[in-house]
Amino acid sequence: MRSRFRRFVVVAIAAIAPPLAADAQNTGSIRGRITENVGQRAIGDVQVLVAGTGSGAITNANGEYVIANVPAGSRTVRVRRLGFVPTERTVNVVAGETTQLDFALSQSLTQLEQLVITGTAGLTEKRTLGNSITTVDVADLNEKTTVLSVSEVLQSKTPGVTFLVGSGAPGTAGEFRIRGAGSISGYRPVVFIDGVRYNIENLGNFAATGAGLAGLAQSSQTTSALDLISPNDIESIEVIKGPAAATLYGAEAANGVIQIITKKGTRGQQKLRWSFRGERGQTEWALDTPVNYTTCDSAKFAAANAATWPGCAGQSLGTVLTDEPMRRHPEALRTGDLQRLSLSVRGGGDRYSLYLAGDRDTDEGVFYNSFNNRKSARANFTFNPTDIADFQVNTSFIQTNLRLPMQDESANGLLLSAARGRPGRLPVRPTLDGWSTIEPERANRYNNQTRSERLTLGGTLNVNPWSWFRNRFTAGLDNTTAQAELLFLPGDEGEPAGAHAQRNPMTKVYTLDYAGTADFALNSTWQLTTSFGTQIVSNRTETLFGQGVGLGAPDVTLIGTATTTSSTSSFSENNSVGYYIQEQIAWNNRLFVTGAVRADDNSSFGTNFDIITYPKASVSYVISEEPGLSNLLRSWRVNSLKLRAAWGAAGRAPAPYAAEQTYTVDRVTLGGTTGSALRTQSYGNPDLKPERGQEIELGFDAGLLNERLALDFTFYNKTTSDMLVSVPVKPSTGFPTSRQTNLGEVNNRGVEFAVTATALQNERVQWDSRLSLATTRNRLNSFDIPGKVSETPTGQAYGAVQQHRPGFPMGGYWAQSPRRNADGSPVVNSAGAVQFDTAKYIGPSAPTREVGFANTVTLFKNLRFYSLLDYKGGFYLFNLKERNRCQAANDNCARNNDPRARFPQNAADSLLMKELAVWRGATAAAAWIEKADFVKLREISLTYTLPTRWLSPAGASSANIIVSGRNIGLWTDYSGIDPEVNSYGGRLFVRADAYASPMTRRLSVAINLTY
Amino acid sequence: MSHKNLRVRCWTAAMLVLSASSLGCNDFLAAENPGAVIVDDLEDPRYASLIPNSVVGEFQPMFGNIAWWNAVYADELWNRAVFFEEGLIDQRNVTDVNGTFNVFLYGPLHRTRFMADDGAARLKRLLGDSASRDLRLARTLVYGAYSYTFLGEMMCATPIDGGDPIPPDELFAKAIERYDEAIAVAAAARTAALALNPPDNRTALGADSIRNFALVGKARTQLDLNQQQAALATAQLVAANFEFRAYYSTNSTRENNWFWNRLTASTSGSLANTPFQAMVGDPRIPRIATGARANVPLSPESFSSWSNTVVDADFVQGGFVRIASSLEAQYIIAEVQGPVASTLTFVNARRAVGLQAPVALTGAALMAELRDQRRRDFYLDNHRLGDLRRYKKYYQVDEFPKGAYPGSTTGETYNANADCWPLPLAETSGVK
Repeated sequence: MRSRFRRFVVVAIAAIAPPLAADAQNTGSIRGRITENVGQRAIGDVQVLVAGTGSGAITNANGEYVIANVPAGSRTVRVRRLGFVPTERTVNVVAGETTQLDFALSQSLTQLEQLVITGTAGLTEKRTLGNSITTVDVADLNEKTTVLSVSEVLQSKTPGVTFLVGSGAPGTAGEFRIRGAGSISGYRPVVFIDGVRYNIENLGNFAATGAGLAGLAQSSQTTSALDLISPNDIESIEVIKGPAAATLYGAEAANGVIQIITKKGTRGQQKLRWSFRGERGQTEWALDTPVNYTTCDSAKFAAANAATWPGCAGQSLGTVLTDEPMRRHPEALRTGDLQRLSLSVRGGGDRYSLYLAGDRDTDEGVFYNSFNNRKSARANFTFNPTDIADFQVNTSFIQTNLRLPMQDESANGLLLSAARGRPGRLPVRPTLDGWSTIEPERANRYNNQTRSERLTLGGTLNVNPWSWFRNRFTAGLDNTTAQAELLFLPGDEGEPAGAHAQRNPMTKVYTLDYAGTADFALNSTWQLTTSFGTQIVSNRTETLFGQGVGLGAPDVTLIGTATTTSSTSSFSENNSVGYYIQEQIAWNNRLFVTGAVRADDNSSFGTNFDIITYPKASVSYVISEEPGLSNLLRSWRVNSLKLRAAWGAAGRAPAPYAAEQTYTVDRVTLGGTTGSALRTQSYGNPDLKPERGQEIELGFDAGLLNERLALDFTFYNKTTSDMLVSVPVKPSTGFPTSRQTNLGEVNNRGVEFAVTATALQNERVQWDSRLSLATTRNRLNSFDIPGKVSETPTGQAYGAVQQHRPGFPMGGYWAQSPRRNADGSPVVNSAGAVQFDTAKYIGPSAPTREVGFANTVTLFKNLRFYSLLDYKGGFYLFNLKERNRCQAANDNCARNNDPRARFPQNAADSLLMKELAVWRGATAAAAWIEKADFVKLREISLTYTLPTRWLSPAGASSANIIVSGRNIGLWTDYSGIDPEVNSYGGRLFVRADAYASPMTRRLSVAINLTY
Repeated sequence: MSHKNLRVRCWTAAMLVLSASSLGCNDFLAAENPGAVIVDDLEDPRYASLIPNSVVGEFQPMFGNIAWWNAVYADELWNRAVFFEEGLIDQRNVTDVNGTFNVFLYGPLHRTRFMADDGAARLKRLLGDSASRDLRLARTLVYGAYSYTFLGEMMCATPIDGGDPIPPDELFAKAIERYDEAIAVAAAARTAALALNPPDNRTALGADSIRNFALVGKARTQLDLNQQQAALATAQLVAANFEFRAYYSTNSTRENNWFWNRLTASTSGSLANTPFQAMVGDPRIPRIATGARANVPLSPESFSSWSNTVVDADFVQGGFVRIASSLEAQYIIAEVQGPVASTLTFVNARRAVGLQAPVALTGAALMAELRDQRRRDFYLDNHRLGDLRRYKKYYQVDEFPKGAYPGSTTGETYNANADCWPLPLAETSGVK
């Protein structure tokens, strides 16, 4: 065995060594600097490649690069950078000498030559695509601001991608929708990282709500494995938005595909480039906190009540006592610390390149028992044993530790307690003064942590035996192991006897992928490109849960030592296999017609259903290169114009095991003994098949004014049919609950429009601007659940305040209003109860209009100001907190006390008092559902690039300092604290503002150093 | 090699790769599921012994639940609970949207019935010819038969396996088919067990127990059908001193005695405002005498925790409950024989258990007294609703509560027209 291995090593070295030896004998170097053609600003992260050799480099922040060991002779050097026109120049490399080769790149906002990932082998030029793909340059974003997660990277920068955040507590995640909610039962996209399928599920955290372990069944804030990866390691993210573009990804891609491309090194005997980033900052609660009021009225002075209201003693009649417990109490809120350290090295030799990085992030929340810490390491290697093949190995290991504060609609949540306080009232215990249910001393003991470890390993072999034939083999594993822990020591709130619960989910996702692409030039005009491939994905999750109640001593917390213990385990597996074939016909490199079909089979399909096929077709026409039109377009200052149209289908697979009729095993008491017994578990559905998302999109990309203005317009119309809906099973079948059934149809349509402009560009000032706008119209076309005209979204605790109803947006708000007499007074029945109308539609619960407006102003080449304004509109939010404050018997709802209160509660205004009384009686009435449009100053930063001469003594090649802020300003008419948050962040459609932590303001200073 | 030929070869290679990769897909696509048994796998003979356990496993928790909710629906308990659906059940104002009814009664009852029907058919396939003398089949059949009897006694009508609703009499007929088969199989199992060398006495005893259990159920069902003489003949076959029980334990909430859960661990019902409130002094109707929980029932006669006193008999978490007995057979015999001397003797014997003085009644008064003793002896063990419906249908005696609902401040009344459970919405709108 050992000798066989030795033989393998010798052969491998022999395969690589000859080219190395040959390279060293007759080579020179190329060095140079790359700048913008206007303004001469240095451009970093430009990929420089010597054609035909595989050698290359990436420029540093000063735009400098060096490529060593370039074979002597005439060489073509190609440079490529997102946002610039790819350029190539020929240079004569002399053996033993260094040749200077500088480039001045033109901006190209339309990006027709940009290479993107489409699912086929190799990269594809954007000009050939009939659909839109949004690319986020994460490396550039990291150079000008602070982003902590993929969610933050994508938020407000990708039109059509709507983030529905949960809360501002670090480590919490929301849901996100690409081009609207595509189904009643799920709408998450699939994510790949360097070609390997990436788990984005919840980490298995315990919901931070409820009372003790009883709250475990509830759901509130969720986490996402997507946010584990550090943005520092990401080069770019590509968002493929709908079935028209995602057909090649098959039966799980109907809701879009996100491709994460991590940083890589570049071949060439170049100096290793070390980069260091250090950052220090803080998070703070910058928005309002609840203010509570007590009016010292005559009732509170009455002898019977005086002891209850000691705060009113000595006050005059009518005095209003106010209290803001979250601000008053020193242990309620803090300024959280943010620290980030990152060290990476990039480089490469003749036959390899590498990127190594380590990151350490510490993010404290504003609550004393909140944090989210992350350590990560990444190693990406590329080996080029021959000129026709390369092999990439991408590995990353991430370790996180998250602690969630008790929040949302929980009696033991600090925010709830603060919002329902009653100033001046005798507290149950002295420390509870001003708080309703719990005070910080107790709340801060809540210990809900989730630790996770994630190993992602991917290998990709690219083999290009001929210039016209490319092959890619990818194999990968994404392994996420988490340990969620909820610990109550004896005496803690909720579990006074002490309790300990642990949940350990382990998720493994395996990917095997082959893709081949063959080009065939019929003649100088026509070119055919054939692509084919197969993809296998296997997803396994095992979860072990244990809990113990009754801890004898605070220092002994093992579950097994508790007085009562229980445990459960679960397992889930899903396997899928897909094949595709695609043919593209290109005419004169400006008209591209593409047709493809993908076939999928999946372990969750019903036995009566075999394989699903998804077709696609698209046309891309770079009409600006049409000789007959180019002059006309140029006369209109249009430099480039691509028209595109795409139609395609993709799917979403059923839940694992949903198709099978299954039984499980349970216990049975048999006299004095216990035995095992079968129980019916799932009725199954042998006809179950995936949802079918079908989409047509039309649009254009245009570059105007010498590519200083780019327009990107897309109209899409996406319909999901055969939705996977849980339908109750007739109990007389003997099976419990429900089964997944293909029913109904939902439609999403809208426009996505982006204007990117270089508004001003000269040697001193450059002003780049990007305005993106997206609309989403979501309609449930048909429902088809027998016997039902509407359904309440799963997990909505307030009944039909949200409904899925045909003809309306899914999860839209519905509420009752009081019936009125002619004089405006409410209609009451004989018992005096207010009579309400039947529920009427109020509006959508998710944004239907989104605008992102980003500006970057660069002064004197080294000072950069960046801002991002984020507007979301056309939606409503259930202000449950305000409803509670108004329904409770206190004075917190009084407008004469609080100008922001929803209702007057002024005894002098009896009519208005009556109006409050009308609404007080209704649980989910229209009064509590408010328009939630808002504008946020989402990101702001100032970046200063230090002059090179300052850095020379320290040996650094470039450095910049970034002062950045996030969630700096909020403008809204919404009366709650933050219209963006949702107390049910982990639920697909449920949206309510019930004491969720608002988004916090973050300020930080970072320094980037490159050696 | 020309460019074109190469291309053709590449195409061929690609197709071969795709075809080859598809060959192993069927195995690959079979996802492991250690938490479940796929229905086809139940044909494995190793599951044969699990099948009767499975019916018992569904029956026992179901029995506790239906005994409770039928007691509330009938006149045994007054349950003006905070949760409004329970109050509606007490008033017999049950509509198809009542989720409590669906979750706690209808669903579990049909799961039991299905497990029995499905299990019996499966056992016959698995055991072949030997099934007709296998006690496991007899057990499976008899529990299934009882679930049909209960469905008939409770429901206005109900579908089986998602079909069209069928009325109680058809449900009773199906029950009797199963009782008969269970009796025959148990008898054959007994014979086979005793024919062994040495004889398998344990199985023979078990067969006797199953046979008696089936006989009582059959007689009860025949009475439900008003087949009085047939009921008499069946009841007379029941062995003396026979009892058959549903067992509970502290293992899990599902295995707990449901009355312990509702009346000892919590206070979710009372015999106040029921006819049983007046039965003070009868140790068969014990209750908490005073205090905040006054009139909360304690363990009655069918429960293992019965103390044969009027106090000190809390329900226990793992206490068993009598389902069928020779006492019930005696009641059936007496009811069919009518107001004869033996009936009076029997009535007075039962009155003695209740610390009541003997009576010398005749005619309708004696039969009324027989009904009174029956409701005392079978208090809270799932006989009352069937009895009330039977009395109303065949004897024109309507003892369902009527009029104003006690404790109501909003004018609620009992639903005088309702004497059976409707179908839940999940049944009428669910899929099959």
